[in-house]
Amino acid sequence: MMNLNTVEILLAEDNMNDAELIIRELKKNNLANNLVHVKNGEEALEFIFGTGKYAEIRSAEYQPKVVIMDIQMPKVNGIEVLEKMKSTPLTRSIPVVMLTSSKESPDIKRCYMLGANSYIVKPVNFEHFADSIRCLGQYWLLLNQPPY
Amino acid sequence: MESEQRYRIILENVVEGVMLFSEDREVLYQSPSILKIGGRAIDERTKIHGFQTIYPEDYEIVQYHFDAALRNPGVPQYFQARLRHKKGHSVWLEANITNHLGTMGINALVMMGRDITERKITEQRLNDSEKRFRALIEYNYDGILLADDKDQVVYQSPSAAKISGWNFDERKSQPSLGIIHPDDLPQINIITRFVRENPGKPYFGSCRRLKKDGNYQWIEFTQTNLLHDKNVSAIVTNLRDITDKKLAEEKLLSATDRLESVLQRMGDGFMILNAEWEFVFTNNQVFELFGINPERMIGKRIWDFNPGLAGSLLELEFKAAMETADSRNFEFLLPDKNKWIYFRVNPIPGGISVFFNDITKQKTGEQEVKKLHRELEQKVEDRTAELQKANRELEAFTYSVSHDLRAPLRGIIGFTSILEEDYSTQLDEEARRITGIIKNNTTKMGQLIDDLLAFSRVGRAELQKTEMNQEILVREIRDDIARDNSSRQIEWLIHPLPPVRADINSFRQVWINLITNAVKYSGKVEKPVIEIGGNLNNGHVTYYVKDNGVGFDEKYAGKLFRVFQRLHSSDEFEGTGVGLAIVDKIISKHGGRVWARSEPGQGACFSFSVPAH
Repeated sequence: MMNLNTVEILLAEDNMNDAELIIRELKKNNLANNLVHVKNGEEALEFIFGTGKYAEIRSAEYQPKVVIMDIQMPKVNGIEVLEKMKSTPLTRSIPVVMLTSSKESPDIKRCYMLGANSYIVKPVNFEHFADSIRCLGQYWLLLNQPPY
Repeated sequence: MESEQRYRIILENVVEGVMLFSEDREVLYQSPSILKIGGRAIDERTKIHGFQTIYPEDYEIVQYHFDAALRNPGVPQYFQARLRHKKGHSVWLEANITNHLGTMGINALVMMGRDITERKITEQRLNDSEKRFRALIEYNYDGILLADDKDQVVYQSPSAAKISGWNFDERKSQPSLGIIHPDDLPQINIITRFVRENPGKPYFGSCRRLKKDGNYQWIEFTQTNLLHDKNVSAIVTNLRDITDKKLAEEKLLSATDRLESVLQRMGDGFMILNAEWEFVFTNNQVFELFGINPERMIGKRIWDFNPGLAGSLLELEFKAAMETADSRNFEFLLPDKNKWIYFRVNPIPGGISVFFNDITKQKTGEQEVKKLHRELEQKVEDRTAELQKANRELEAFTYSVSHDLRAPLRGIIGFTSILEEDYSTQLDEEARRITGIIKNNTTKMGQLIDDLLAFSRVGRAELQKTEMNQEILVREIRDDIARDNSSRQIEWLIHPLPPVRADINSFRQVWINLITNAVKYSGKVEKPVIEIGGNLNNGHVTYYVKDNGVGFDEKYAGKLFRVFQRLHSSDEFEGTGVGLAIVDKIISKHGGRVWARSEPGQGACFSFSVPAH
């Protein structure tokens, strides 16, 4: 079992196919070594705040370099997770990239208002999609300087 | 002469004065009584010549009768004349003179006379007063008529003639009051009978009678039967013309009548109450209110009719009007009658006047309208809510369509790609062709979804109009599109374009779609030329995008602007058939229209026109 305190990417994605494509693309580019995939918002919050099933095994002091999070998730959706993170000083500085399948989403403005660091519409076209994920991973993991 | 002595004694002692004259007017004898009448003594007898004592003005009269006596011996001539009294005043003498010149023993003209001065004065006085009365009658403003016992006019005063216009002769054939108006005749006949039956008692009356000019006049009269009075011996009628007065009265009466009839006939109810709350006047509509004959209400208190009014709004308002002298208007539901009445109460001196009308119909109509209004509002609210719900649902639907339909597509393409990548050695050419088709179709479906969503977004988006420079916009779009098609040599002809007030995002979409189409459909032409122009005419701007491309059959021009309708197959030209439908929708929302002209192989020209402001 990997050290959950050294996780670099937290991927919150309920669509297992999308998650697989994302992880595959990141792995291809050697960006997925320290990646944890949670399947819904509730689990994302438990991970980030070290609660629930992560209570014993994770400390909120250590945070990933980026949280890549789908907006549409069951139970607690991405926006709710974002809101909680950004309203808590401990987690406010974690970069969050919001993913959505929909160009129609009315949420883009709301996400930025809540403090999202990026907002990406997942392309249908696989080449575009792969490109997007690769760029995203490279940028936040290699290029961007995290606050801690 | 014994007999002469005897005559002398008689003459000397008769009360009547006696004078004897000779044929030559010489006084032969004067009796003491005649001397006494003249105020003279016996001893003055011889000193006075007989004719000297006659009042000069009456000298002729005496002379005339003297001569007549001379001519007619034995026939006495009667006359009245004045003597001159010794004291200067005149004395009236009633006398006769007889020629007795041929009578034996007399041989003289004998004049005998007696003093009638007193009678004369009385007569004179009577005469004067009659003259005065006559003058009074003649000059009286009132007309005076005297009629005999057969009611035949025997006298009419000048003023009476003036009043009627009839002269005396004409009046003689009429009854004393004249020719009476038939309507007044029965009443006049009664008066006339009373007058006859009650001598001395004056009767008053008025009636209409015919004037000579053919009109009727109103007269007022007093008639008294004085047939029994010897001084009058007539039925006396005093009358005056009161036509003007009567007309004025009638006018006044008719004004009052008119007012009353107006009050009676007006649709509104009307009543007047005095300070004691008694009815002073009510019109018939009051019956509707109280169900009691208005005539029976006069003088009775309003509160006695409907005890249900006690303590009601009506009582409060009526009392307020009475006490504060303020007008009050109010609506009141009549107890028991279930009628809505609108009251207008106005204070008047000594009470209040009340107008009222039944507004039950309006009231129920009003309530009906209010009810309908409420229902309508509710309906609108319901529909609005439904619409809002539908809109929310539509938004949620498009959201989920865009999200949920795209995600599987991404999976299909993604995993097909993985198949190609990870198993490339195991796939032969045909397998790779098939995976290519899968990806291609899936991509196309993604495009269809995106276009369909774009089309639905156009319908929902609200327009935000601003003044736009079309040339800058068009050149910007042209540059973008030219960049994307940099492999192609397109000749652009962009003419000056008038500005327009429109929604910039929508218009950008319109230009993009039209210009992209022009580029696309001229893709197979050797030297593509795209021309863009516009003009302003009658407050409308018209723009066009013209190409020299493949064109289309105008027969199907109507289909161009419908969703998913295409005139070319995807093999020939890529596309989903949504672009022009979006253009049409945007231009329609701007109050304009779009149309296209073409011939196959001759290129196409798409135009659209919208109000400039």
